[in-house]
Amino acid sequence: MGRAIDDSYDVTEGAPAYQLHLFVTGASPRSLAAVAGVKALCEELLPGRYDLVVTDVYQEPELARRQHLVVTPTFVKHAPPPVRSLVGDVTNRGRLIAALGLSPEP
Amino acid sequence: MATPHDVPHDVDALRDENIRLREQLEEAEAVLAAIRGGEIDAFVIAERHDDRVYTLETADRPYRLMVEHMQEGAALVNDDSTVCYANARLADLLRLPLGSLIGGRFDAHVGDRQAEFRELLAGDGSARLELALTAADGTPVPVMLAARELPTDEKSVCLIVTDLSDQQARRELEREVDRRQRVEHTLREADRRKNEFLAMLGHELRNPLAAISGAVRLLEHAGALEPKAAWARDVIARQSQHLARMVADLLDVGRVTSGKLELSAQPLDLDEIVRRTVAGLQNAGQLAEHRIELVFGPPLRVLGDATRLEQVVGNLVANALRYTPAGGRIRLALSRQGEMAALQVIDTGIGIPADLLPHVFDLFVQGPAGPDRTEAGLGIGLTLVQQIVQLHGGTVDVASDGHGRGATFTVYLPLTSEPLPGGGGGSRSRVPSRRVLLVEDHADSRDMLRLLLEARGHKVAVAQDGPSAVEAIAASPPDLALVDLGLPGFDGYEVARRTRALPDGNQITLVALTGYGQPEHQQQAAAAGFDGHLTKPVDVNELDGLLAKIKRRRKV
Repeated sequence: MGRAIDDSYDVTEGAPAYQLHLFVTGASPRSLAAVAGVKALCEELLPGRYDLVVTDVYQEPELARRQHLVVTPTFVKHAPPPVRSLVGDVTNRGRLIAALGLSPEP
Repeated sequence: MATPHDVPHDVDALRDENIRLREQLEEAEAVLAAIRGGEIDAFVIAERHDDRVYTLETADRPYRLMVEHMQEGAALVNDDSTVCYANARLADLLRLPLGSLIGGRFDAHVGDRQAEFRELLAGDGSARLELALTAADGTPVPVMLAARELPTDEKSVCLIVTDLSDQQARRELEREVDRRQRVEHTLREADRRKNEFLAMLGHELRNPLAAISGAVRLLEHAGALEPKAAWARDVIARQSQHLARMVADLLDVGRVTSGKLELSAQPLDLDEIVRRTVAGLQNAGQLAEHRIELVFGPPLRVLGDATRLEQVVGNLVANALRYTPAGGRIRLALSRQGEMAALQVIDTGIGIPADLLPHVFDLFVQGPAGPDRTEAGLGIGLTLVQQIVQLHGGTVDVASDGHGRGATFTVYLPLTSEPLPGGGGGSRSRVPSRRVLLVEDHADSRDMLRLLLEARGHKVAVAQDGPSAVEAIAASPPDLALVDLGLPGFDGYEVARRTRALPDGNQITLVALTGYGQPEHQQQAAAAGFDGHLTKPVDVNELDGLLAKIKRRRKV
């Protein structure tokens, strides 16, 4: 599967439908919680159908620049279109479901 | 109603309060200014139960950089080993992009060591787990894992991953070195045992050989034997001599290898050594079937052990003889090359194939069977040559154009300008120099015997038959005449009789050269006027001894 680590995600035959990107800052408590929370939710809602890339803006700042980030944490859904993003409390279940474009739970 | 006490208090209190407020304000302004000016690292915030320290980015930076750049891989994982934070080093080790490592599960790389990994995560941090992680491309990465739960609000375990692949390589190297040392030790032991065995063998063989030699000597003096028996006796004598030489070589090789060979070095002339050796071989009848050429220039003086150098020349010639068919030519040439004396032994024999050439000096290496193979060897002779030459500070080379094209051995020895030891040299005349007439019809025997005598310092004239011998004696009487009994014209007995008939005939010492194992001739020789006899092949020491005996007798 050809998946590049930049913002030109290719949706080739066989690539998972959901291409997701999470921006955090190192090992801050908010960052750790964001990684764990988003991962857990994706596993629950989209098992086997997603690719999640996590960018630590301390260690890979150029990726953040390209994305024109303002604050962290920021969660972005690149595919399937439309592109949606979520900032701040990214572990909020309802907000994340909305950002993923999934139907709200009853 | 204001009391008289209140009024001044009011003003004072106001003033005090003013001062206090001003101080507080200044404090507050200072704090704000410090915050604005980026001068602070952290806020201390009173939470419900304790104070919390909230640090700003600049204060944290060194710790963050430390983790990002350290040599170990680091990760923060939660309950199900989801990696919530990782440094670039860990991503490198696992051959993953950092963005995929964070958010992935660490236990995906642990393989079948899941239980131990879980135990490590749950432990108190003192344990270490050594295992091979599986990188993203499937390659095993040997690492040491350490895990410790962090005192944070959320469950977070810090994992430190130390790359062991260097250590692995070093350990393998150490194992290999250890193995090789053991192999080396075993080989040295085997070599030492081999040397001991050879030395013991050599010593043990000497007794039986001595017994055989003694018995053969008895047979020689026991009187005439019928032809078959005489031939058999000769075979035994020759072969036991050959055996004795092989045993001596074997013992020598053992001595050189264990560093016990003693050399006594003297200045000596190399041409001397060659002449003596060749003469000795001639006497032993070994050169009968080949043509020997000696090519000498000016004398070449080296520092060396005469006996050992004779051994070198002897072994080289013996080697040439073994691999050169009858009628072939062996040339010994001495020359000066720079600061070295060069001795070349060149044969026209079967040559040495290219794949054997680098190994001719190796111990126990032999060529294929020689063309007239009567005597086998042990493959020691050339090894000894090399060892002795090297002990003399020289080198020996071999060259051959291959099958049927002969071979050339060249010995280089450093020249010396030291004079020969006083008194005419250790190897020269232990008897005074004499004028000798050598009467012998066999060309090679004659040449070699002449060389032998000249090596002793004698002046030698030759004659090839009876009549010319008597003429020479009459014309220029020698001190000593060595006369072969079997001559063309008239025989040796007649030469003796006619010599004694000359006017000063009795002044001349006459020695008969009789054939091997023909004692009856000795009596006849005495009757014809000979002073003594020597059996062929002539032994130098016997000659000296005989001459000394004759001298004593004649003085009477």
